[in-house]
Amino acid sequence: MGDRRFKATSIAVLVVLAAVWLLPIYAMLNTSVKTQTEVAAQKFLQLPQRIMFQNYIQAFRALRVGLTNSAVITLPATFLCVFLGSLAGYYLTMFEFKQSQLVFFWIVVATFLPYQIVLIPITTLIGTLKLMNTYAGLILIYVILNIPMGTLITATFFMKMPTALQEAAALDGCKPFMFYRRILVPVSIPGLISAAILVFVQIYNEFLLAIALTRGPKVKPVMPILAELKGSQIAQWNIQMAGAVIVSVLPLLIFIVLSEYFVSGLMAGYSKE
Amino acid sequence: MKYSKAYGIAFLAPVVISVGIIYVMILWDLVSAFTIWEGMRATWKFAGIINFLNLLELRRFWVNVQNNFLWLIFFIVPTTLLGLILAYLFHGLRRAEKVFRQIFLYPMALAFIVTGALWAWMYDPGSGLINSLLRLLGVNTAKLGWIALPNVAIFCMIFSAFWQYVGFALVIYMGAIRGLSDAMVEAANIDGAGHFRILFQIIFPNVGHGTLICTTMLAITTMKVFDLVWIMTGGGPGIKTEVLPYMMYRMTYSQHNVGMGAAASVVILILAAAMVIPYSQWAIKKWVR
Amino acid sequence: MKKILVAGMALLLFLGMAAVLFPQEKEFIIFHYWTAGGEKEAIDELFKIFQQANPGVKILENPVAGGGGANMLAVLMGNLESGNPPDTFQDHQGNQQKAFIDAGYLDTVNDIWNKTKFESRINPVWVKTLKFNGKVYSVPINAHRTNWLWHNIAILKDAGVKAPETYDELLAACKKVKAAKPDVWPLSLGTREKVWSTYLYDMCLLTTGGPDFYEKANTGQINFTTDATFRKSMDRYAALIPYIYPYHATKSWDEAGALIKSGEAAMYWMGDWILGYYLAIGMQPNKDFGVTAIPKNVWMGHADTFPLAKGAPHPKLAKYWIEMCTTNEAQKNFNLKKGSVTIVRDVPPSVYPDPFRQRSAKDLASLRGVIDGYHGGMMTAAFGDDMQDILTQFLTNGDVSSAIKEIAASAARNNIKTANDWFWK
Repeated sequence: MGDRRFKATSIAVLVVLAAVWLLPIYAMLNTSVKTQTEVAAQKFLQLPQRIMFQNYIQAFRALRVGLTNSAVITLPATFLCVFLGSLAGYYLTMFEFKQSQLVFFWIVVATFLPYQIVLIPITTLIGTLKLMNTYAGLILIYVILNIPMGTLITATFFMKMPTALQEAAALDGCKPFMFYRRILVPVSIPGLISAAILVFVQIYNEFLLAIALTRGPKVKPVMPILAELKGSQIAQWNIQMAGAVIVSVLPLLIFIVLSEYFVSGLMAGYSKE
Repeated sequence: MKYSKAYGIAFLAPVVISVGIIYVMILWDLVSAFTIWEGMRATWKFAGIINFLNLLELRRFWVNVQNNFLWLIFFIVPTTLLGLILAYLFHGLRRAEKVFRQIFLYPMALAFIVTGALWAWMYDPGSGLINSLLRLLGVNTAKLGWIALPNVAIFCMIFSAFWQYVGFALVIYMGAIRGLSDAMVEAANIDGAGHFRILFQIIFPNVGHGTLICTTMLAITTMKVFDLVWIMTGGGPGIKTEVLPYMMYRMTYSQHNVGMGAAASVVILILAAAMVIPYSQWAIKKWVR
Repeated sequence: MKKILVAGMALLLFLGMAAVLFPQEKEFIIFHYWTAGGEKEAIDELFKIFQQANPGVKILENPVAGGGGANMLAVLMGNLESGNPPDTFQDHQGNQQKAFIDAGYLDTVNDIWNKTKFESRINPVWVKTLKFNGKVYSVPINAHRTNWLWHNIAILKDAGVKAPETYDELLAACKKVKAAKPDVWPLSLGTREKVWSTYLYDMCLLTTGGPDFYEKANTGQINFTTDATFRKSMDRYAALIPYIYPYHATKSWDEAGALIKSGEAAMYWMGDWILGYYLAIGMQPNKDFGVTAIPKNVWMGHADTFPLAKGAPHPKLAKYWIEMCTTNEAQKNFNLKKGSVTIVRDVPPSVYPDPFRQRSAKDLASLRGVIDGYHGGMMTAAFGDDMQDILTQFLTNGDVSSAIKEIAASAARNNIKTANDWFWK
């Protein structure tokens, strides 16, 4: 009855929206298999004459090292941001102490700041620590810049936990770290995952620091290389779009996997309440 | 509740040290804003507030502030709203939901340097995708200049960010809605409530937590938006799509005016703090239960 | 599972740290933004020569994509400030280079210029814009000409228009094309990157007042508000606007140029690097497209240069590179791939396969030269940055008076008259 009609309309609406949402992706895929001449014609809707898979091969060759570097840098950095950030989020929300409000305030302000405003001091810092052009240097700076966000997001999810739970556990002789590991984390999977998704995207897609703090291809992440694919005075959009598809595979995989946990983790989490 | 200080220090140390380092670096901005710079060279001579005065005098600065506010309103509200609606629509589906979810989530996997180019192609008035499709449907696209039109450009840009982040709002709300007890929704259904009413009078008030996360994250994104402006329009036409972080970047690195760039940075800091105050007030209230 | 994760992370971190502790081999660090295709092949030619003379040296190139400068500077500034300079980097001339010099980031290379008798082998405009108070800090490797008007031969023929060589001819051509072919836009333009709006500005200044006026205007030696010639130049720019592709804000320089191929536009004002692009997308010179120079008695363009960074970590290698760039062989090999022409006169125009570069080389050797406003560094960075905003705004409304007002305000605010003293000394 009314419910079936609602379901039908909602599917129709979703299909239309999905089509709109996919338009730019269509442009990306379409351009990625065209020749440079075809791209120059700028008929974005039109399909290519021949499918130039060699664009992907060319792009992949250029991106290969960068992809490894990005994985090596982004994954540990994300893990550290979420893990260390959640420890702080946990303590801030579960334990009262005099300055918690102040500390929280300044942490949140720090997440709002665009890092470009401290680009020069960052380069100075990494240069002084002699961590220029190293994995460690990039991981370090990305962690410093993104831990506040990790803390903020996890704290917001932890806020929903009743402190009574923590107090009861403490009375039972449960040490904080055990509480964190055994109770908090499993229940707050969605929070940790949201944090992981956001932080991962921030670090993986970052561009300026990736150039400023590296020299040469050894540790350079994938984003600057992607930007280079177009060329400054030659405009190879097709290769760059092929590269864009390749580069987006890793985040997409992470989204697919994580959002599964997100949705299923939720069911488990909330039912524990 | 109180606990041994040792745990406190251990758990808080990483974030506090990081934030500390960030603020020390901001100190550099603060000092730079109050000194004279000759292009790229620091003279470290105290200059009072002249950089700020110069900044406030620029019409460009006020256009940027206005643009940032436009972002705050027109990015956060529609994204949150559509995320909520989509989450509600998804709630009814079972298997199809996974595919749809990835379609809306995929844009987040793309870097801004890519989406900037993609949307420039979407909005291209000549043969771009939007106008080409509209023409197929018989619409006259002569006046639809999109980002070529000075007064419409910024909304076009905000829309492309909206496109990118709806997936995130969707996922957050999906989680929040599933967390609601089914009993609540069942009861409303039996009462014969229309879907509209269920969504806005029953579900929305009870996913306040999800709304909070969503709006906070989106607000953070607005303050930091940079790559998109840079790639899509370079702040143009004129300066119609410029935002504060981009202006600060242009001043420091294109105009070689580090002093004024630092002053802009300080303004960004003040605005961020101003935005956070109501948020942290609310959060504190929640803790002191 | 978690233990494995943690162990894995620790291992990765350790690897990262290890990279710091290993000793550095002999290296050469260079920043540039020639990242793909022909431009990459060009700089690879230089690397080839360099590597032959310096085997065992690892070349660390840091391509800084995008921005044609701004990004380079953002990345460089942090590195230069923190004492991590590269050995050399890609720079332009004029005020762009002066910014580095004033900040104390460059070292002089007068000895290299003297040794190779460089000054006598090049057009005097390079000397004028690379010598600051008698000192030179870099060597230019290529000369890009920017006062080229590219046109679709078929469209102009159909409209009965001769390819224009002066401003008046250009305006007349626009009018004729518009009348004969209403679907075609006479003049293409792409301002997604706003800098190209200044190229047309340069052209109007140059054709209205001549090269001396042009130099005075871009260096702020005139009174923008009252100068009649300046007003006339801006009026001339405004007169072109109705014939300019209206949606230029969405087009990049290459997309705008491609409109000539598709026949949506008739003419395009752009520098010579678009030749490589046109060839790559299948256009044939003198069949599909032709080129004229406006005005034909002036060579306008800019060069890419390699300065010597102060405190360069490998000064001997840096100096070798810079001296290498003065040689005929390096200049020839680089420019053949790059699409520009050599700075030095010794390389004959006949080495270029296409007629346009042959002409560019000949003109550079014999005509009066001027450098363009933004990339060439006639404008100071702040003024040039403002001009981009002012001119893209101007393009939307053609309001000459308000544009002049804003230009004058920017010139005053940025003190460009005094900033350009070095040029007039």
